[in-house]
Amino acid sequence: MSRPRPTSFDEELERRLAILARCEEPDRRLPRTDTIALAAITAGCFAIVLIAQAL
Amino acid sequence: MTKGANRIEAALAETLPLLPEERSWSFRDMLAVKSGLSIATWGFLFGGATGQLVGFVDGFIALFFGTAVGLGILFFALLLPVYRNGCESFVFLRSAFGPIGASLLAVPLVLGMVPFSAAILSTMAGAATEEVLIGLSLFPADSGLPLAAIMSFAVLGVSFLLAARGSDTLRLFNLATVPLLVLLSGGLLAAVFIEAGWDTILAAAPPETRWDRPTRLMLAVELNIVAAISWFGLVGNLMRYGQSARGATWGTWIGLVPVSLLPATAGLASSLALGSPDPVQWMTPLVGPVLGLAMLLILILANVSSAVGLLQGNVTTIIQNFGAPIRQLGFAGMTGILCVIACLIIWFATDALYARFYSITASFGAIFAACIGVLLADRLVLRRSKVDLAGLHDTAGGPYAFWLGVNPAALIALAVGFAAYITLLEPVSQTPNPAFRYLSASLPAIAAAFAVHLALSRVVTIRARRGGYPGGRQAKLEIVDAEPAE
Repeated sequence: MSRPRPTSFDEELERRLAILARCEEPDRRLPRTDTIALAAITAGCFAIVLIAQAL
Repeated sequence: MTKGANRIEAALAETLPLLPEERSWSFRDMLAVKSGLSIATWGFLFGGATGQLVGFVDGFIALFFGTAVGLGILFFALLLPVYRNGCESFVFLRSAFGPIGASLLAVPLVLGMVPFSAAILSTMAGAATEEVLIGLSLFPADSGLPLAAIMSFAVLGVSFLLAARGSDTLRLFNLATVPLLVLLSGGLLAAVFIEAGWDTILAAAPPETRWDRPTRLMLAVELNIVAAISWFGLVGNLMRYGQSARGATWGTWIGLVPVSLLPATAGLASSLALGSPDPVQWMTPLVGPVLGLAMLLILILANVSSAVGLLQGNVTTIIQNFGAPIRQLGFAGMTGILCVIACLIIWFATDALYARFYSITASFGAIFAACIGVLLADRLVLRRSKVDLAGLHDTAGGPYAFWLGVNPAALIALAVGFAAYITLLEPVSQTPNPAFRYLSASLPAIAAAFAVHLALSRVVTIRARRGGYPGGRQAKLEIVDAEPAE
């Protein structure tokens, strides 16, 4: 890390929260298409298990 | 933490919400770290445990689809919000359970699990090291020394030295070793198939049980759902380092689902065809002494890489959730204490570890499943994915304090989910309820905890204006500081 770090854990927490509140963070959300793909894979996998049971 | 004028150590600082410059892992880095976690002893053991329930084809279905179901649910409950907020996983749990509630959960789920898992990993690595040393004629086979235990301690020592150095060492170590680990797992899989033959493996049947095929298949799927959700906070803590949500998510998914199939399928096939999932027992006889010894060396590396990730990810939870006295020990100090506890487990209870591997994992799975149900209801329905990062770190009466730091609604929902799980599947004796065959145990446990948390929160918690939920007067004030809606 390039910025000087304080000596106490609580001071460091305050410093980080202040930086995060100020800075322009990139969007950390998973894009909608990926979210849908992940949900579909998860649900589809359980459906395949049920189909395999029936075979 | 050092006192006086020294800055706090980097590894300790990274247990706090990560800064943008610390979230630098690419897709490749994330894939390497997660692959390094999944290619290890537990991959072979879960494959072997699956092979005790079903044949090869059903086993492969259970390994792939069960793991994908478990991990997928874990993403929506915990991994995605932890990545988004950059905070430690159990710190995020405070939004549902309260700060004291989350710390109480971390006692069994982290303090109880980590030394046990580290002991399993280092025991197998220790046994592999013993084989290597005897194979190289550095020690006689009948030396009378507890060579495997000593080597397990050495492996834990190396893991400690690497884990204590922080996240960048973990990333670089995995980037260097994962190609070898993939080769090892693929090589072992090929060796089992060449030795035993495709037809023999396909025809091999698991030991006789009183359950029919659909029930056995669901038992195997359940085992792998539980294996995946047991990654829980550890995977979230490591995922925070990802540069982009897409790279972090798919690096994690590919590392923990398709890549984990390599050792698990080798364990499944060898359990069915050779009678043991433990590669230490059959590797050298199967591929010859030279190649066998080389593979054993890589297996040691595999377990070291997993142990380093395990310690790195979980020490973060312990530092964040057990107060100032623990922080005084520093990141390295806490890592060392976990390694010492793992050493004691190895010394006193190695055989019990292997014998009860499945029972212990399944019992913890019941708690994890219920916990996921609570988190899904809280995050997706009650909070609509919005939490206040500063509030999560305010343990002295912030918006997530609920009642004395505990959310009774979440704890009751957790208990109901746990009860639903053991009603459908008693984990120690592996006795399923008739409905288990269609429903599994973890999915109904998640659903039960979800419904109870939702109902109690709406009827009691939100009406009492506790927990900073949208809708209460207190919540409206707090949302000003929450992440902006996108």
